[in-house]
Formats: sequence, C-alpha cells, structure tokens
Amino acid sequence: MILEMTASVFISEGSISSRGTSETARFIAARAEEGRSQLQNSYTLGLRGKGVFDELCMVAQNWQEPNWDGYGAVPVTEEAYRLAYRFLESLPLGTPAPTVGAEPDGHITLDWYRTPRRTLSVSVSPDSELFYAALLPGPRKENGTEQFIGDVPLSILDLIRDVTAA
Amino acid sequence: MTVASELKIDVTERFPHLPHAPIVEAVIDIRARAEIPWEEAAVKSQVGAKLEGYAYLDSQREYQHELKIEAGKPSEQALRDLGWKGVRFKSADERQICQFNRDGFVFSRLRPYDSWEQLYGEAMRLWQIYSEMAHPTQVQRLGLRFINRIELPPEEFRYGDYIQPAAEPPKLLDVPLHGFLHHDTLAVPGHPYATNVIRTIQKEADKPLAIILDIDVFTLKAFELQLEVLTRSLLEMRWLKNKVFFGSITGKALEKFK
Repeated sequence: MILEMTASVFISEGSISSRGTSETARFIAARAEEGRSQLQNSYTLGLRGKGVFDELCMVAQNWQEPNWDGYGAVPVTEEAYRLAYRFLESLPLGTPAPTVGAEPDGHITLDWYRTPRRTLSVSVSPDSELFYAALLPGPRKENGTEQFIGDVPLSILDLIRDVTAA
Repeated sequence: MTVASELKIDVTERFPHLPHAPIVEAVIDIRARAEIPWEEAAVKSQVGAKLEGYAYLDSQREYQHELKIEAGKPSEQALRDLGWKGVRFKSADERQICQFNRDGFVFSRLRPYDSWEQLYGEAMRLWQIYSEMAHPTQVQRLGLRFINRIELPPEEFRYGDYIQPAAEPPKLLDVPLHGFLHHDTLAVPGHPYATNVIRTIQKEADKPLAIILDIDVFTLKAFELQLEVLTRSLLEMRWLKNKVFFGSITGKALEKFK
C-alpha cells in the first residue's frame, strides 16, 4: 500500500464541520469531540498534554489588569483568551508547542521560535483576527491578517510547518 | 512521500440515482459574515416576512465548552454562553431547516432526501434572501455535508459487507468489534478543498444498529463573494462528495439503496 501524502499533510483535521441539525449530526459531533479530546490530552500529540493551555491561562490571569507593563498596556480580554484557546484547540495533533505571551494592546501572542531567522508570531485579537509575521531562511518575510472562524487558516499552518520543520 | 498531481474534477460525471439513499441530512453551510448590525428582533421579523412556507423554529445562541485549568487546582468543564447568533426556520413538513446567523447561512435537508436539484435550488433561493439582508462580501468557508446512516440487519453481519475499507479487529486478536470511530481528512490536490470523512457506529435504543458515513467537503480559503464562484464550487464539491460516497460503500450496500 502506498500512503500518499501531499503538501496539505498539515491540514487541520477540521475542528469545525458544516453545521448539521439532525440528531445524527449531534451524535457525530459528540463522538468526534471525545476522540479529539482524548488525543489532545496526550503529551506527545496534544498541546494540552504539553502544558500550553496552562501557559495561556497564566498569561490571561497575570495580564488582566490595566497598565500591566507600567506603560499603559491594555488588559488581556476574555474574548482574546477564548479565541486563543479555540485557536490552540484547532491546531492539528502533533503541532509543536508555541510559547504564549501578551501584547500591550491586549492581544495574545503565540510564538514558534527555532532560530533568530526562523520564527513565527501569531497575534490573536479579540475581534477574531489573526495577525501573523514570520522570518524564514532565504531570507523570506511573511506577514498578513486572517479571520479566525474555528479552523486554523492554511497560510498559518504552512508557516508553522516551515518554521518548525527539522 | 509522493506528491499527488492535480485531481481532475469532472462535474458532468453521472452517478447512480438511489431512491433509498441512506442520507439523513444534507447540509449547505455558507460562512459569510453579515456586514450590517444583526439584531435578534429585526432579523426574526425580516426573515419571517420573506420566508414563505417556513415557520420560526428558534433563536440560536452560541455556546462553547471549555476546560478551565488553574495552576494547582483540578481542571473543570465550563459551558460559556457567547450570546445570540441567529434564527432558525423550518418548512411546513419539517424536512427543511434554515439558519440565518450573524456568521452565515445554513440549509439542511432532512430525510427523505429528494435530489441534488431540490437541495441546491432551495438552498440558493434562501441564500439569496440571506445575502440581500446581510450584505456579506466574503465567504470564509463553504461546506457541503452529507450524513448517511446505513442500518444493519439484526442477524450476524460483517462491516465489510457494507463499507470499505472495513473496520477490523487486530489480526492477532479475533474478537468481536463493538464500535469504531474513523476520521479521515482527504486533500484535493490542485483545488482549494478538503474532505472530512467520519465513519462510526451508532447504537440507539429501539433502533437498528447503523454505520454512520459522514462526508463533509469544505473550502480551505476565503473567497470574495460571487454567485458564479459559489455555484461552481458547490458543483465541484458535490462531485467530490459522490466520489467519496460511492467509493466507500460496497456493491451489496448499493443494491440496498436502489
């Protein structure tokens, strides 16, 4: 048997699906969620197992007061926390763990760092926007904005792959 | 690793019509955010006035399950209410349900499934109403989903008689298989689509055991809203859905649906 892989090997397995109404659709959603949660809890495959959600929680707790940096920083909002949480949950299993931080404008940042010339930063805004910037060998610079509706955009998945690839 | 060449999609290909198709729900889900204020009272009244043959079903709120983790404390599950997001209406025969949401439009056709022409025609008619009300400019995600429920006989059977590849117990352990959950994601080389295929078993009291075959074809990239692009995408996605369906069932199952 030939296992054929393509560049889209990094496609998220689809944490969101087309929205069904029937009882069967609800049954499938529950079964799929069970399966995904079980794998997310694994240390090897899941970000929960790697402690990334703990880190996110700490960031949200530590930077929820105004002026947390002494220079007038905006607090991290519930909405930014919630979206960052969903973003992390939506990453494909096996994705290397990012480090979590906050920005003075209240956005949550997720950074994948390999070397000074191989790094990606994704900033999650409370308005469901993802601002990203990457430095890659070449030299190549990538930046842009994507809407987050529940699945991680392909452009960001590609950059995570490029930054973290061995 | 082999890189597949571009997949040729042939929307003119004909597939067998199945009068007893096991489809329990067919869904067209267009995520296209409303560009105007989306307020419950106004939306409910406007949609009600425009949807002939449909009655108000309910208002939709958005909830999210979260696992709350605090350092040094046991984790706890929480249900977060994200607020009102839209309304649902159902047809008089309760076979068709549409959702007019802040983040898009969904049309569901429940059993019995009639035909693609009927599904597509009605979905597009209602989408037009949503589009005129919400003025979306971009489609963030387009989904075409068919959920099939293949009922199994009460006597002894093999999963392999109905779907392929079949779920099997490990080679070294010849024991009965009580359940499975397979979730595959298929890429579509050369096209901005992917397909999620979920196969599982559903056991419900007072109902025959059934195999669920859930095929969800969706777009990978947002696109500017143009009716022509939307139409072409749906036709291509339908072809993909048919290829997955007819490639997943056996000849025996096919006979059952004819």
